[in-house]
Amino acid sequence: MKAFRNYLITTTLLLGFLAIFIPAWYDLPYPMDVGPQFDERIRPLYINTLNEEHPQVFLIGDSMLGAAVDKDAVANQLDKKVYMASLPGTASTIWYSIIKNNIVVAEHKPEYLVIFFRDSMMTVPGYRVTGRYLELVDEFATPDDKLLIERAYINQMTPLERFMDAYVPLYGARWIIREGIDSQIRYALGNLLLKCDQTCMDYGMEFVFVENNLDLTFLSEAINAADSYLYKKDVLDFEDQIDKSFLPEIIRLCKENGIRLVLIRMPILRFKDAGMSPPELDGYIQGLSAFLEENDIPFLDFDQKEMQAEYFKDALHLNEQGKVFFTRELIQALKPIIK
Amino acid sequence: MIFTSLTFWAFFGGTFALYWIVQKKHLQNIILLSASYVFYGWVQPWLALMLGVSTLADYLLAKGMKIRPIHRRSFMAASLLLNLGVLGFFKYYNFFSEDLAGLATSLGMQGNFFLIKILLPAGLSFYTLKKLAYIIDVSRGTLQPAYSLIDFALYVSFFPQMVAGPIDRPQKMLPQFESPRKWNMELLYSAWPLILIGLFKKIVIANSVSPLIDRIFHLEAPTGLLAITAALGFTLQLLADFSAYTDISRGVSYLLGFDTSENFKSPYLSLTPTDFWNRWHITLSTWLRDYIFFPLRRRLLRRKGQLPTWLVQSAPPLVTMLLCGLWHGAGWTYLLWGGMYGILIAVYQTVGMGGNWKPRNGIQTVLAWLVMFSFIVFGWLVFAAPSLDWVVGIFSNPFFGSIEQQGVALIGLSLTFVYSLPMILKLLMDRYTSGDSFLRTVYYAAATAAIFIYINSSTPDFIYFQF
Repeated sequence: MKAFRNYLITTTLLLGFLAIFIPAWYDLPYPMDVGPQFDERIRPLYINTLNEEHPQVFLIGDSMLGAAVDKDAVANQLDKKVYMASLPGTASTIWYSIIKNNIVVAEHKPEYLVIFFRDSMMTVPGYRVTGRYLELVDEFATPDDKLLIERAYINQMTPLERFMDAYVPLYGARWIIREGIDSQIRYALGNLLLKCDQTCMDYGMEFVFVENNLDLTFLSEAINAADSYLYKKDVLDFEDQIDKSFLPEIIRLCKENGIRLVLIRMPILRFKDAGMSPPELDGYIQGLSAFLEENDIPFLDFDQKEMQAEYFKDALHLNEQGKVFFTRELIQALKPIIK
Repeated sequence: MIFTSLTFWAFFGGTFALYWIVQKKHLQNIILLSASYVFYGWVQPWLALMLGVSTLADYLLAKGMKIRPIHRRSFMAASLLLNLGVLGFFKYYNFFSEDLAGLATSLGMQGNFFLIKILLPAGLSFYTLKKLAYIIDVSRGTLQPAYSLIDFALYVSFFPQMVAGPIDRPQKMLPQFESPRKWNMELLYSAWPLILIGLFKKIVIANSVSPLIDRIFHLEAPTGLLAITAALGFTLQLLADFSAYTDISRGVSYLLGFDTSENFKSPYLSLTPTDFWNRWHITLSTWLRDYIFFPLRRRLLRRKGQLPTWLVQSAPPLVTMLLCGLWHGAGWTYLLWGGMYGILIAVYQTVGMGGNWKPRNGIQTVLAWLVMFSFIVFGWLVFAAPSLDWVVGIFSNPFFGSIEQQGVALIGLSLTFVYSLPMILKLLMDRYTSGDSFLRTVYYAAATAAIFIYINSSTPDFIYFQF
């Protein structure tokens, strides 16, 4: 009993002290704003690209895009200047922030914006937004992106998490504190023994764990595990998800800025065996298709059945042979749309 | 449902309240049994159905042994066939599926059917051992069959132990399920340090080390230094992860009024392989000892004159540890890991360093520890390796590698070193301070603060769920 009482008193005192110390140390408001604290700076990468290169067609997607599409072939066949942003690990939230804070504010806007996604990706704002993805979102978002913060972060939290995020500074500031702890642990020894600073150590991590060095089974398993979030029952309820997503906003931004939006569902291997796909997926795609038709958005569905397993190097990414095949199919499908 | 999720604690809160409100023993057991089946069938309800059917079968078979002792062996054989058949199918089917498909194709049959992947139901390996312990003891006459199906079903499915043990014996748990329970604050005082430290070890230690270590294990050709880093990191991660699960399990059991077994007693301080298995996953090693090692040794000793001494001495540990390896999974790495311990135990016994060996002085202690710790770390390297080729490859890969590879190894070593410090401090505290010492209080308070910092909405599963 004595131990328990002592623990309760000491913990209360410690948490109380930290509740005062942390906001003061990190210069944070109290109660804290719920959700991540983005900085004011926006990386103008695509603003500069658009203004300098004047592409007419802008392709955006995650690493699947780069593996599946030969940009030069598309440009030649469509006779358009094409820019391709194949951003590994990105999803609808990052694409939305790039569209909102880079593409539509550029002086030169593309005529066509083509988004490559898989299955429910366009209506799952909470997918790939935490951990290291948070840093990526932060590059293209500011604290003024209230809609993004609400849909991608706050809506994903339980009431308890929201309360703790606002009123328990230790929890609310956990990303900042962990970043501090992790950087000490990660970089101190390398700096001391190898004279290798943070950039050098981060480069080392990317260099060592490049896709070619990892075994493919592990990659596929990791991808499938991460992607299972896209196939949860509630996530595949299109009617429920659409108003919580960024898709209507992306459509609005494109229309207001005279950009023709095209959506492309990528083929994947995950459900190659008949009957393996979640039963709700077909209904979801029908809902998405009807919604896009209502909004006059071309939707090209490259269903996985059209692609042979030999065209894939893992569950998601096409190999060179697949890239040639897919690019040819894509060009044929885009020709009537991109004139 | 995993112990670090909010869903689990909401589920447990509801169960706990209802459980103590009803007060009557049989109602409490019904609530616990229902909760256990909800817990187990949370993601895949068919798992609960399978558990229910196999539990009923074992209950009836044990009853049969009591009613018709003359057919005891037949009932026992049926139970073994059922339990080991189900375990073998789910655990080892995938390992042989490609061979089966090849065989079917060569016989002109449709082979693709055999290539479907079978998902191993979480906890199957654990509850199978619990049921086997029950049925073997009833067959031996050292245990009376449970009177109530509910009590027996609860012993098999008790949710704090369901997916990763401890593998408690029926002699320990059934009398507790059969006795009335009353709430008292002592239960809370026993439970809270276990739950707190369990959450700390999982959320702060294991989850911080695992992402990098997992990645190193999936490099196609790691350097020697990276392999050592991965082995040391995994040594920490596995202990933190698995002992965290056991701690939370024991804490939750205390809150429900049950005393369950310890599974770890500073295993990395072991001086010999026998010592290690007396401290690591204790409920598994005692199960293996009582149901495989001792019976086998007794049989061999009876034929001592006919068999060479080395066989009588080395076969029991070797067979037991090979089975231990196989229990963990179908794969040559598990088999080699188990076999390595079997050989080590036999060799240590041969040189006079068996179960009762004690070091004579400090130097001998340090040397014995160093040797044993190296074996443990190497063992975990084999255990966690994706394949035997991968392990063999390490010896032909460069040791230091490029500056980038050295940098990654340093990150891994730093992570392992820093996150092992709280474990070492806890070990020292447990040895040298009292339960209500100031240092311990500060440690628990700091652990609570660290949980707030490290907690996230999603936590990787406990490693031992997969076995």
